[in-house]
Amino acid sequence: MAARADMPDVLLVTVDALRPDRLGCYGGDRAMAPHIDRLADSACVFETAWAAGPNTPASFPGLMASRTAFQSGSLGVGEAPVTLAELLRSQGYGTFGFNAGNPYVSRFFGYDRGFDELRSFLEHTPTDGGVFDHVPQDEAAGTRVSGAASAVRRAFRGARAALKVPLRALGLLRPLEPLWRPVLDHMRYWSRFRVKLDLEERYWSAVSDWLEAPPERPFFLWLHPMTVHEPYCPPARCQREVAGRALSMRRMIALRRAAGRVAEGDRSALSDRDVRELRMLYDAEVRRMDERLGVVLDALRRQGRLERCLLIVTSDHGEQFMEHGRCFHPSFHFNETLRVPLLVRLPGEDEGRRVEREVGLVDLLPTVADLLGAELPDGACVGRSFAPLLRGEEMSTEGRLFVSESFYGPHGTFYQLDCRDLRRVKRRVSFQNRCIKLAADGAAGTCSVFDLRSDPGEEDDLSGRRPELEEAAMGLARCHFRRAERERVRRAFPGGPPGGRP
Amino acid sequence: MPDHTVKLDPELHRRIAELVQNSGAFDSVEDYVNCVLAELFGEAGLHEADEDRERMLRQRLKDLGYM
Repeated sequence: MAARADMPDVLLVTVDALRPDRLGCYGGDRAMAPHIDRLADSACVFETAWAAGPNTPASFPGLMASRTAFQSGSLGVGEAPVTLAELLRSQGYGTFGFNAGNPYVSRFFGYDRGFDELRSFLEHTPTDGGVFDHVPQDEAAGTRVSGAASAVRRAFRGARAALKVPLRALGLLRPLEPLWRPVLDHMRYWSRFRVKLDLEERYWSAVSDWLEAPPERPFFLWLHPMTVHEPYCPPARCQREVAGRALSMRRMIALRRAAGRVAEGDRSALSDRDVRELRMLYDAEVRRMDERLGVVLDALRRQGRLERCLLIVTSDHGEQFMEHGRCFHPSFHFNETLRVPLLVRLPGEDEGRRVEREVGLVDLLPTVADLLGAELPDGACVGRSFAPLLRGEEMSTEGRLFVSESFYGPHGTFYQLDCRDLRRVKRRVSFQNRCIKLAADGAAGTCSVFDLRSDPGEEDDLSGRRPELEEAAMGLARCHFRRAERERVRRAFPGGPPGGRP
Repeated sequence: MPDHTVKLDPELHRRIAELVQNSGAFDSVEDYVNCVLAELFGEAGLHEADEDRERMLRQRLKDLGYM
């Protein structure tokens, strides 16, 4: 199908781990992200947008396919009825994606579906650890560790393995840990910083190259920058711009090491000053990302394509800075990670508006379909179109609870999961809107409840004192989990049971 | 009375028990097996019971002013 000439280009920017409150259009410092704020002046700014999960693998099925992660037996969108890129390609769009190295949104998890070209920049992602432990090696073979920083990482892994055996044999591994761990951690994080800096350059350079000669026909361009994602190692210039001073590489590494210890359970590893400095580094990364995004927007503006572009800027999840005793974006359902920015600018729009109605990222796919007049298969989406809100019409979201899901493995994080098989992972789910948060841990059989009207910071868990709310949290979670199981059974046996009805 | 007991392979039972423990959706292995079989054979009873329960819980939240 050829795209109609009046169809707009579509630019979707999903900044990994971007908190809304760091942006001026969400009440943050207006100097932090001036390009995004300028865009907000002519866009619909959704005051409350909910992610479908607190981290990338849990959130992205909702964002790209309007599905919840638990609806699949495996991670990603490989089993989704339709993805955003597929929808747009079916309308005649050229579809292009640039993912700055996040393996969870790469082809390994079905995110290349519908794309004419998806570049994932996984060259520096180690294939011998983390998510790739669970990807068949023939698929992982397309990626390889390269570059000086990665050579250091390989050397570090080798040295660590070689040292561990004799030290453990002598019973010295633990007693000598204060001596060896800082050195090895320093090497590890130094290499991660170098990899990130190198990747950033290559990523944005590739995006700029693409923008030099975009296709004539309408395009869908998806950008997934990792600039704001940890480890935070912004250039000194960006740090000075947001804080008037810059931290040394040594200090940045020390902060990342301490944050790593928090993730391992030592909540005292970060002092208040450390947290302030981590936030400052994060803000400087936001500043750097905004600069890069500004270059992209300028390029489209020069070509006269920005004005006729449907532009969506959002994030897959937010970030925590010890508000609830943790850093980054673990599998816990607090609003620091579940609330995301969402800006949508319709083609030709030049007047900004704020939208109070709550929406979810699961609504993006049906909204884009609605705006383009495209049909979606029945039952393909769990979200609903918010196109009427973009047109300034009324639309009720009364009675709506937004669902977010997450999963965790044996060590409490999602990194160690067997991503290709979600049948035996431990699950969390939450149901929320501006008034209430009902969160349940399926494996632990526990829940937490927050009245967000009186307790927006989620500090006072009501679960022990409000049995009716506790019952609602556990009951809704149970129904949700069972529905996911039933859907998986239906998919496994689409024609009914083997042998038919007795 | 006919005996409706089904003997599961011990390894399968262990794996289902693990799933039941992790998901929080089922009380027991029997509960899980009942749910899966009901879905496979198109028995709508369990599905409808869940829908009713969810509707009731949502209505209660609405009555409490949370929705």
